[in-house]
Amino acid sequence: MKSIFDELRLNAVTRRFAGVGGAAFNALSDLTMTIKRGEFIALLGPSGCGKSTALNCIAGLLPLSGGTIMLDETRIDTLPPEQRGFGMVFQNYALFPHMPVEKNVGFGLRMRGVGAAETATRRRQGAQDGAADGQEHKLPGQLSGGQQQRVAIARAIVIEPPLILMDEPLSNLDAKLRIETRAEIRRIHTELGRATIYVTHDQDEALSLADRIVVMKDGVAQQIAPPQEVYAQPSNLHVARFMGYRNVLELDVEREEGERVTLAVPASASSGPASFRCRAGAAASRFARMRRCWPLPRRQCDRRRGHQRRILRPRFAGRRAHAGRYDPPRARRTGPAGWRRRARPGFPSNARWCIRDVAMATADSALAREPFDRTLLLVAPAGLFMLLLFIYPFLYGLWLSFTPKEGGALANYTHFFNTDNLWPTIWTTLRLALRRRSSTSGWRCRSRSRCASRRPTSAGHHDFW
Amino acid sequence: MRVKTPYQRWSPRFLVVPITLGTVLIAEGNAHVIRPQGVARAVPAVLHPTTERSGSPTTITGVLISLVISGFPFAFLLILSYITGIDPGLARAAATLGADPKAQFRHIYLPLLAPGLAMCFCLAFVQAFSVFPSAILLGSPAGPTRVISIAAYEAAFEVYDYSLASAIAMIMGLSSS
Repeated sequence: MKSIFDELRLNAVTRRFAGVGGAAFNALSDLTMTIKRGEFIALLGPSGCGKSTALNCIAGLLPLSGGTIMLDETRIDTLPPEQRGFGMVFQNYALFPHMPVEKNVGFGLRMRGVGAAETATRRRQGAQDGAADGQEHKLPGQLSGGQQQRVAIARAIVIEPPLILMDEPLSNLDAKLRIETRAEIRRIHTELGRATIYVTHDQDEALSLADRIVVMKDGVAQQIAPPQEVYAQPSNLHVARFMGYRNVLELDVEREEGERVTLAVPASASSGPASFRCRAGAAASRFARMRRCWPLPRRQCDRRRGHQRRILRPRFAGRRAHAGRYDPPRARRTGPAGWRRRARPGFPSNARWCIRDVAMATADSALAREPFDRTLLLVAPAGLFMLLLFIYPFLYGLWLSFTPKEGGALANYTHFFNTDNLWPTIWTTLRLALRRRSSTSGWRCRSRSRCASRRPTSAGHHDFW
Repeated sequence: MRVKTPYQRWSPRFLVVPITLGTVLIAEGNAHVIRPQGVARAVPAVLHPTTERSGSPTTITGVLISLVISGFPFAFLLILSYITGIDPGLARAAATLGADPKAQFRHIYLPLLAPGLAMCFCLAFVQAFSVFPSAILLGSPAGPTRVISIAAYEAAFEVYDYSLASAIAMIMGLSSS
């Protein structure tokens, strides 16, 4: 598979799944788009909208139910994933847990038959690019989430794929690390110059990373456009609602002129645009979808609505105890009167002790005693069971084996090992246990002359020992 | 690598049946089919009565078949639990990195299954090492299928030497551990 391409074309890509009762439903419907080399595409939408399905279809992990995928002039939707040559970063990283980092990163090169020297060089470069340097000999389980994520990125880019697919790679990271890694992903994308398809449900990620955003809903691409356009000119109400917070205002329709309506602006919105001319929805109802009134700065919205921003700063008041009872920690907040907690009626304001003091005072009480270890309730019967049914019989058998009818304590064992037919017996047992046939017979004495008298009788019995 | 079939739900239930029946019943059932006078030999004899067949009883084979029938479900279910515990995303990740199904099995599934396979082998070995009903019912306890558990049984209940039987049991324990 070539490492550079001009464009990847998705033509009406569709994926159906069997639903409840055997009825098929479209997880992805007629996705058509063209991805140029060097583009960063974000598939954005809520959970279950089909964005991961689209990514898996492109990667080859899911076969298409309809449509085609063309890489330049080559049709690739019929190829298995190992022949498409795309790099993929999974949501849970999917690092091989039995391989150290260096083998994880070099796995793709190994599968491509790259030589050891080149593998080492590219692996090192990939680790540096993915900021996974210095962790080569660790297993994935010994790495933090952020480090695992970097190794997963390094593993995907080291094979120099024409297209990198990322399936919500930051969703398992904390907020701070997510922002840092986001910048790192953009840097890697810019440096490599390859195309990237990035699946996310986080609007911030999509807006900050992508060159173009594909907003999806119910398996259908709602809008494919650059971030500014998706944010400022959403194609429909779903996109508008999904892309921002106060993106929808409900206003009364004053007048209708064909497809255009004039909306009444309330007096409280006097600081905003003087009037809104909006296109009506399918049915000209009282509520119209608004265009060209975007974006509304949050501060302006707040001021227009008469809200005053206020930071509610919680103040920790400590733990309080009264008469040996523990009260949960309380946070007194300044701000609106409704937020302030009031003292309980009848609660003496001076009757506050530190919880530590209360614990010391009640050290002798039953509540302060060490709780009974309940695991003993399980362990004790199990131990008794083992003692009666296994350990005691075992010890009894061991003692019995050292008390033969004749001779010393080891007479049984010496008799056993000195008997000629012991070894064939053990050998037969081993052979059956190992499920294989041996060329030697199971019944064979070392000396045929000595064992002649011990051959089985016609009735199947033989002289034992 | 993982192909779903409509029989997937039923195959484990079907495989559990031999475990629930017990080794004696399985060995007895197998004996009716496998041993020299069994159905497996009678049917060809009826269909081709003129063909001459060797009459040597393959008792080791019979015991082996019986052991496989009783031990396979146990091993299969044990390994199945290990396989289902492996994240299918690993094989998918390997596929995107260029590994075909064979390479996925060799580099991903097999190393991850190795501890489970070793444990399964040990348990199946211990189970088969103490084989008794199959060796008695299908084999020749005085001849080729004379196993150590038969020796212990004979020492205890034919010679009535419990001390010697205990010693043999200890040796069995040591051998299988």
